[in-house]
Amino acid sequence: MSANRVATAIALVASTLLGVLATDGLRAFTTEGARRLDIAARPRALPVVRLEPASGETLASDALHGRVVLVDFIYTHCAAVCPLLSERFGELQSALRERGLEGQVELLSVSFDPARDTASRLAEYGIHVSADPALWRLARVPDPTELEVWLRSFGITVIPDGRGGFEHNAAIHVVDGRGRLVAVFDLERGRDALDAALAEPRG
Amino acid sequence: MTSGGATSLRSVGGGATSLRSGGGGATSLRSAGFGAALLVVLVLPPCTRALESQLLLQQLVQVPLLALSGWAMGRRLADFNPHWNADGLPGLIVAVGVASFWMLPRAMDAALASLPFEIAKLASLPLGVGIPLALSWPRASSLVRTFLLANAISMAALVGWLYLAAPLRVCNFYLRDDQEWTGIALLSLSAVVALSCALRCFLGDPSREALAPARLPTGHRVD
Repeated sequence: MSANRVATAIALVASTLLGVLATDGLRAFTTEGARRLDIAARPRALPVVRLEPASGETLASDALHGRVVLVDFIYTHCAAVCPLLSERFGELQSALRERGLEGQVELLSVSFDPARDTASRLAEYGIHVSADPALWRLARVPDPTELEVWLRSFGITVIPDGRGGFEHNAAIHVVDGRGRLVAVFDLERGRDALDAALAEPRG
Repeated sequence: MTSGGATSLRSVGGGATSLRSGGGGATSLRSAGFGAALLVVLVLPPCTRALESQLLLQQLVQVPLLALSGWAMGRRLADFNPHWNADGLPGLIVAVGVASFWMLPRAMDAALASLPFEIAKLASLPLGVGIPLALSWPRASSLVRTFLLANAISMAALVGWLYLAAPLRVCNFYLRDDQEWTGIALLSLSAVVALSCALRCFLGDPSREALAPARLPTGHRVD
């Protein structure tokens, strides 16, 4: 075999290997895809942050341990993807109520826009989307550093859209009873997220 | 393979000589200087910031210019003719592999999120795409060139369509609008290149003597 043929074969193998390694075996072409694969393979222990819910009194995020929490990230001025997320959370809230899952599974919408989303603004938004505080908590992370840490732990990228709003990952996150992020679902897969939540141990 | 074999393989690629004409001469020196100067400008932080602020600029300006800088520098090396790259295939496969890697949305995100990835991008596009292209394209047979060109056209169209059809953002660091504009630009670009190739195929290459349906004898007119 000529050196030319050998070099061609080596180049082919190397290029294929690069492609396979760079996409986790052709499974993840985007950062979001890679994040979901990574979380499914290695659940992430989330750091404890201070949450300020719409009701006002702050709580540490580990106060939610003991039940499975479905988390999404929103800001109330959002006109694009957040209304869709909140619509899905509204459907999940009805499902939780119908199946009597209060106290087992909880919904949590976290605002990443603490400057505009005050507790009272979140309370208004909660009324607007018919959130029942017993099932669906809306909260802000008042400390900017803690917010940054939480966004990074979840793998959420928020970029300003140049019109006073933001673009961000839209997904439903499953956090188990020990405060570990164990799965991420497309917003259209709320049912699957709920099934995954019910399969998780709560303690 | 003997050097005689390499020469005969090279002669298969018809128009190769015009691309290689600068090898070693003053033209290639100017070309290498242009490539080096272009690369220096492209790696300046204000320039990377500006070109990476939008997906459109990144994909259709920054990446092609980085490859061009390598190509211009590579022309200086056109006489460097290792026998293992006699038919240009190894170099072309490397160029396609590296270029494809930087088309991955997660690779583009990684370059923005981490400095090592950014450095890897700024280095690998000239070194891994531009220079291998300059060394290998002139040696490739016209079959290989046509294959690569056809694939590049369809790949640009496919990526453009994906950018338009994706329900969510493909890159975490780029806006949805920007993604749509890039999709439109890629589709338009592939259409323009495909059309110009088709025109060349059907109407003939004006640089060749053999074309000229206009020179048909008037007696053959059917109207």
